[in-house]
Amino acid sequence: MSIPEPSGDSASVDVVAVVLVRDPSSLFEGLRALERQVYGPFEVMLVGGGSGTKALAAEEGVGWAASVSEALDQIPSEVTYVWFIDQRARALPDALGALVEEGKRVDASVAGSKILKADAPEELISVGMATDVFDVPYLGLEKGERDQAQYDVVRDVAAVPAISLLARRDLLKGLHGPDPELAPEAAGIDFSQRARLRGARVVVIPSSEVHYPQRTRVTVPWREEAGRIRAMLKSYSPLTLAWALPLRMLIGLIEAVVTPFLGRFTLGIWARAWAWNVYRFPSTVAARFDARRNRVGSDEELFRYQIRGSATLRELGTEIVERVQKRLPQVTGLGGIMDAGRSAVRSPGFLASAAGVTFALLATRSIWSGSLPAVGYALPPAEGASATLGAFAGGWNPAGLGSPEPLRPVVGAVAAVQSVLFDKAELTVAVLTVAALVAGAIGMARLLKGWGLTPIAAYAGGIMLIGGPATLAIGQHTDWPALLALGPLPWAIRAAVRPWPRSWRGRVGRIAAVGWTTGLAAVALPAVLVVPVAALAIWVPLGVGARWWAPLRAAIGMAVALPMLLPWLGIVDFYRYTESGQPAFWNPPWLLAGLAGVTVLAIVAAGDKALASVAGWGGVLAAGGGTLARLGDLNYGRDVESLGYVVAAIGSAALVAAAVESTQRFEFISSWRRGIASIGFVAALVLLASTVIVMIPGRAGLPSDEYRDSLAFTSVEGESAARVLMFGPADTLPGDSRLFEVTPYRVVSTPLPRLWEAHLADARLGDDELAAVIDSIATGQTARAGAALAPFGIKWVMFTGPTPMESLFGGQLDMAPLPGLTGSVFANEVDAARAVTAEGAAWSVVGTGYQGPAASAGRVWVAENADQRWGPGPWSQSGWANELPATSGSITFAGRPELHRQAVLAAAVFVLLFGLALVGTGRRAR
Amino acid sequence: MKRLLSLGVVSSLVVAALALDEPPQALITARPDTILVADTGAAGVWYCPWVESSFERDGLIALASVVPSAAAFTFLNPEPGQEADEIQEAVGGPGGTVLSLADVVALRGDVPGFVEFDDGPAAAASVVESETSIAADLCVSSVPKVWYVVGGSTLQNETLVLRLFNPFPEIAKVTVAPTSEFGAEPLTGLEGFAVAPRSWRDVAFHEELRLREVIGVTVTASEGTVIPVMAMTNADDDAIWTGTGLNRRWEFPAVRTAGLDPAVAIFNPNQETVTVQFDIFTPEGAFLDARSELVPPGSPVLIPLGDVADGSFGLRLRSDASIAAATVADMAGGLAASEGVASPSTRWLLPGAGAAVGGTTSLWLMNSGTEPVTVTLLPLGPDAPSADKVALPAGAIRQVIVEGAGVYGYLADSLAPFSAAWSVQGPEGAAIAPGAPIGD
Repeated sequence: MSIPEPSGDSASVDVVAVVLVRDPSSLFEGLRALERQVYGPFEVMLVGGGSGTKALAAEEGVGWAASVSEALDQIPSEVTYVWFIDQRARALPDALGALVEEGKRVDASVAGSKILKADAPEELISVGMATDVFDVPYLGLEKGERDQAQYDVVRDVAAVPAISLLARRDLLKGLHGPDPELAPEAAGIDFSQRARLRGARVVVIPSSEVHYPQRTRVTVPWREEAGRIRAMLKSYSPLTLAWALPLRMLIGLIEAVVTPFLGRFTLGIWARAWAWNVYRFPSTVAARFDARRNRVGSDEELFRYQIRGSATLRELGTEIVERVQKRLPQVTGLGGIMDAGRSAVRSPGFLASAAGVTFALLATRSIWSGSLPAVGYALPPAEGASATLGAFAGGWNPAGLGSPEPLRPVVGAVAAVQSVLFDKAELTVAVLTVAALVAGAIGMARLLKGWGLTPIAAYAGGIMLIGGPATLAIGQHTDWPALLALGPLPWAIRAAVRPWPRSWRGRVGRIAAVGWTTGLAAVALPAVLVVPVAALAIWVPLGVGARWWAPLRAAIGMAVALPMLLPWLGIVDFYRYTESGQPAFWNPPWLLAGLAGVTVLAIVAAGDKALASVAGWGGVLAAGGGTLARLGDLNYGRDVESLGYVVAAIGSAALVAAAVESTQRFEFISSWRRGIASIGFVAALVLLASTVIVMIPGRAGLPSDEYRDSLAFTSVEGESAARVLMFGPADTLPGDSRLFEVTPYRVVSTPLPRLWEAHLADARLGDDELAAVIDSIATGQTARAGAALAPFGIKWVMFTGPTPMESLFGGQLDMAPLPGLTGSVFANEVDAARAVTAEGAAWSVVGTGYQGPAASAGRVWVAENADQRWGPGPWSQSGWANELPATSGSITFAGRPELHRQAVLAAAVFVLLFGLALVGTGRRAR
Repeated sequence: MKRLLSLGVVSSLVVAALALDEPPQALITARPDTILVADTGAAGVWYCPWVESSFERDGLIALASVVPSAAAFTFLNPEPGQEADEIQEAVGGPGGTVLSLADVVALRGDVPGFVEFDDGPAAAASVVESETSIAADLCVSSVPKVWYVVGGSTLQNETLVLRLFNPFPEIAKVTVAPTSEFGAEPLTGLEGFAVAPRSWRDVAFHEELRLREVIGVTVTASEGTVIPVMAMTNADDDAIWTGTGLNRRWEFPAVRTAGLDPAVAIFNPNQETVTVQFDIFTPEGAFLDARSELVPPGSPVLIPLGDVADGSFGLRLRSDASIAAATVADMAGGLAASEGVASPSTRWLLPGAGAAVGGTTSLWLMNSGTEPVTVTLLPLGPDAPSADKVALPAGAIRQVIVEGAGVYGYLADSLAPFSAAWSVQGPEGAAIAPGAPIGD
């Protein structure tokens, strides 16, 4: 396209400068800079900015248009060029002239200026832009790169920023100007691409210099990302879009996963950008038609000025390397990182940490390679995470015969993780268990290293935490959630006791770190909420170093973490909670307990001041935890016992670490003290050796599975909509149990009870009715137990141990024993289902609701404790249970909105605390 | 200082931990072998293992209830795969009724079954009549794992059949250990003897153990549960009686009724010989320790009682160890056998008393205590007359003849314990059945 020679006559104007206005109050300097342009004549038109700008335009004697398209309409046809300039740009006097003359010379239709930093004019901001295939701009400049004319050559580029952009008017008219829907940077890229498709050249002219106040323009990140996606949609061919769009989406997700660790959150940006494009899709299609009409170039033309790969990933990599370099200043470049890695592998610290991680993996191998043993309170999560989350957030609690009582926080947390892990229950359990033990080992080691212990001793403590006798006791107690609590607890203690940051951002972040780690541990086992405070309160009189404010920080962290326990925290009865379950009583292996005592005595007596403090602190926690775990005679129950185990685990970890460390400091103590410390060391070694008891079976100390095989018969029969009534010793039953006289019993779902059934709510109508039925069976008032139990959906009665009830069922007329099974099992000869129509058709269980064939008439009996929130349709209470119409084919529990809000609040508080903690430790904001 | 503080606190905690006691564990104790399927103070199930409807014999089941209740009958079908027959009957309260098997399962032959009451106290009895025989027995409500059936003989012209009735949905595996006056009589095929769910099996002792004077059988269920009943036939009559558990005392209110020559069969399952004292109760009074017998272990003994007293009498056995016992009485044209009652009670139901078509029915009341009692007898049935009172002196028995039609049972109660049974006797034959104690 040829450019007419300028007439040089001041009367003919062939350039109009269009100033994009956002803030009319800061236009003055920009207009003065335009006046100083040596090229002329040209006219100025202000665009946007509202009535204030319009008035200013009238004062200055320049044109005004409300939008770019209106401005283009006003520009007369004899004008050849339109110069878009940002209101804050300060063009040097020869900027316009250089654009016009050089642009003519190279036959460019779009030309951009070299942008320099206004307050440091030697620093480059932009010399044209490359993009990647996803239209993400790549400036190719180092941060703070100085202008040394290294880029001073007119060249074709992918795009030029609209800070200073000269374009032919006829091209602008043909392309309808920049897309008004896009943010500025994306609009520039989009315009350049559309120009290329029409065969126009897009060049940067470095001799045209413009100063700009900051490195990046003020813009909204998600709008820019949305604009880039729209630009792709408008310009690329369908073949290119077929692979580029999914890749862009994936890269965005990767960025969203990585950037939180760099102190940024891009998931929201990603989501909004794609959502905006979905919403704008019809207009994008119309714009695409316009853009690709009359095109003379193809995608290859666009690819010519794009970098390979992804600019986003490239920048992420650069940022990560920068972070590593900041941490390891001696490391330069990728080779330096490799060398640093090699030497790290050989260091004792690395070996110790590797040992800790390896131990954690070995100790849990049966779980991550197979499944969580279903025994006692260690129950796998339900298969549908969304159903579990719905139940947690104000939905139906399915334990026993159900209730509207909130589920324990651990149920919601596990389901949240499960929803991320492709709804795989077993994978979730494996990830959580391994992560908890690995995190616990590392956290304990870091805590101890913070008190001056060497890595080997610290990781010995870490291994003791996750594999010692107390942890074995947790496993034997089948308290899988308590194992999860071991993960974040040491981090919570560490966060509270570490040196206090100087900046307010750091301090807020630290408190948030204490908060979310304490909260996470309490979500797993609520009783441990007080552990960081208590542990640090004990550290104050016994410890060394700066520690006086640590309990206060832990207390504040605990307070901010409290909402994470909602909605369960809102309804829990504290006394009932501490007394629930079997009475607490731990009979530790007395040999190991004795060895722990020897270790305490030896290291406290003979270790140096720091080690004596750590050992003393560990000893107090170990003894205190052991005492807590034996308070059953004072009516403290299961969770207090678990709390005692957790505390004892932390204490014994510190104790062993101090003993191992003592051998590293022999040179600093006298010979008699060495002898005593050696005794403590040997005792600690034996304690450490006992961790093989946890490691060898590979189940994190949990007993072997009891329910998958013993209840397998329920899945063979395909009776998922039925229940099993189990009798037996309390420690053989899944989760909580109720008592009939002295015989524990409970009702569980088939084919396997799930985590959300572990804890029973207070007895309601149905539970009382079931107790009455059991009583009638026991006292011989009925010989048809099957008919009596069928309304509860009980298809089987199972005995997990010797009880007097077993002989009673042998004499029932409608309960047939099933031979060849583990345990004594009786099958109900009467049809039993949890939801059944009047005609006897059983509905299937879906989450906590039911589904079945819709019927225009008829009602469904739902064998759950009566609650008017079951629906849809007119609900009626039938005895202890519910009756609902069968018209919809689905029965669900409407839920409690206030609990739903509390659950959302709990999640939000966690995200907030986690985010604040990240920001508090982040090096820079983007 | 810190070191001392640490050690001090640790020591204190350790002492505190050691001082804590283990909380008491709730012991789940197993109940004894007796399965309480129904205590007769409440609704329950009564199992009637010997009932039939055939060309020769008509069977009926008599019900008696203190309160209005609905009774559900279930009669097993001997044909494999066939459903049981079920029928409902309402019983007034207090009231009595009968169900004739001919109306339900006509001519099917043996139709053991059971009755389920939805309220109680209630009880059931079976009566089987023919032109030449009468047999009756109280149905069974309590179902132990180990049964003892004693009495009966396999002398010439006698048949003795043990029926093992399994009304439950579980297969029963039982060991049948017969003994006779010669001691243990092991028979092949009786160990681990399987009785299919909801069915029965008969063991004909007269074919395997001929010419035995007295048979005692121990039935032990290793799996499932059965109810054993013995049926004896001689040239004159039939008799049926069910097994029992063991007890140190047994009372038989009706041992000799008119013309019957009674004997008592006693089985001692213990390792040692036991001494059994006989107390005789006549209309005139009691003869305590009228006899003392040594019963050796492992084989039943049949002790004739014809000479212990003239006329009608009742019997109480007192043993220094648990035993099983039953009375057997015969006469020309009559054969009757009955299990005893374990202890007296203040209230009794006597279902079937008056339901037999033939013969004369009598109630037998025995006061084995030291104080006189007054027993209120309430006839039960659609046309039952009003209640009557009977004075029962200490140590005496009383016979109350049942008169009039429309009486299918009795409710007998008093303020003090006593024992009750009923008998029917006539040209067709004789039968004795115990009452069902229903306590207070």
